[in-house]
Amino acid sequence: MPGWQAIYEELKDKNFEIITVAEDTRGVQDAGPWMTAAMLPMSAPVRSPAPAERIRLTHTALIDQEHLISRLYNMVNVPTAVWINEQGRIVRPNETAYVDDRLKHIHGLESAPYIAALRDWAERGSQSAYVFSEERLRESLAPQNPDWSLAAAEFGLGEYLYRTGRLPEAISHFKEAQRLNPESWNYKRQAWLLSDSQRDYGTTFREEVAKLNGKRYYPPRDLPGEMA
Amino acid sequence: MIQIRSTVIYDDVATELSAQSQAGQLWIESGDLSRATRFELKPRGVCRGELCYPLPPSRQSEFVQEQSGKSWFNLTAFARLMSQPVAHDAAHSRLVFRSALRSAPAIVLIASAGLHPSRYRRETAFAL
Repeated sequence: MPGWQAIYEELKDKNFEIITVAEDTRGVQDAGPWMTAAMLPMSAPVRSPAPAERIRLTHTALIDQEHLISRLYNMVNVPTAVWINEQGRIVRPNETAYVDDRLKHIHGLESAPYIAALRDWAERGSQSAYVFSEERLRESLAPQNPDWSLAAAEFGLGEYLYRTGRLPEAISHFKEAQRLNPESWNYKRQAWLLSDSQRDYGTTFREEVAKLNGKRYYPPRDLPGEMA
Repeated sequence: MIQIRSTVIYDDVATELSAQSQAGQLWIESGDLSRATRFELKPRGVCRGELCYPLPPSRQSEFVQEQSGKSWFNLTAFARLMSQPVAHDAAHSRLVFRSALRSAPAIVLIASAGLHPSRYRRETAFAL
């Protein structure tokens, strides 16, 4: 959040808008504190954002409890961003988007190339080298996958069952969503957050990341200086 | 047909209704179609505003049937017609219908450089 707020403060007068969206099944319960952190006392519990996170948000920040944005833009991990121009057209498809280096020691991605791309787009608009042509965009967008569509339905049913107090029933549907769309870390992360992942899924987030065994956690980005 | 109480989650909205289940198909009363899905059964097809899905003329009975003095609509068959994914629990008492994204019109304006936040809130629309 601090990183995105800083980008917004820097670029907001350049015909540029940011909308951050928290994709959290537990909605305000999990995402709310990060958005209202400025109002929290410094003595707030450990799970609350750390002091460095407690900044006042002035950009548009939303909570998407239904994961609608993830479905619409085929987002499978966080943080992910998509660029949309004044005409409502996607000009850069969804990609991993870090705007600070606090977790670089874990994922290895530099924030500088992405921030430079944002600045260039804000400055040059459609003339930016970071804007995809329609042809390039079409090539980059994955074709609709029926299994992924069904995974979204299974995940939605799992969420409904969870919210109506039926977690044990929800788990089988969360598992089915993960089976149908194994690329989605969002499905894994959300489901494991809602129960005991070791007990209910036989694994943990850390174990699953370790299983990558050198394979990238995030897909490669088309940015200068980053290897494909 | 087995009479059941069902919760249909359509476009993220949950609606409880009486339904019938047969061979994995969920039939709801035609009168409940609008309440559950915002679609309406019209002579030209199943419609939401100006958007209509015609039902195949030779397969009408697959979608609409009269039984016990009531008109029933096969929501599962309609989903299949629209290539709409459906997840359900074992008893078909809870079903989630997700949008068939491939066929959804690309009319979404989520955010746009240059729009003032208040204008964004007026113009935001989500394609489902």
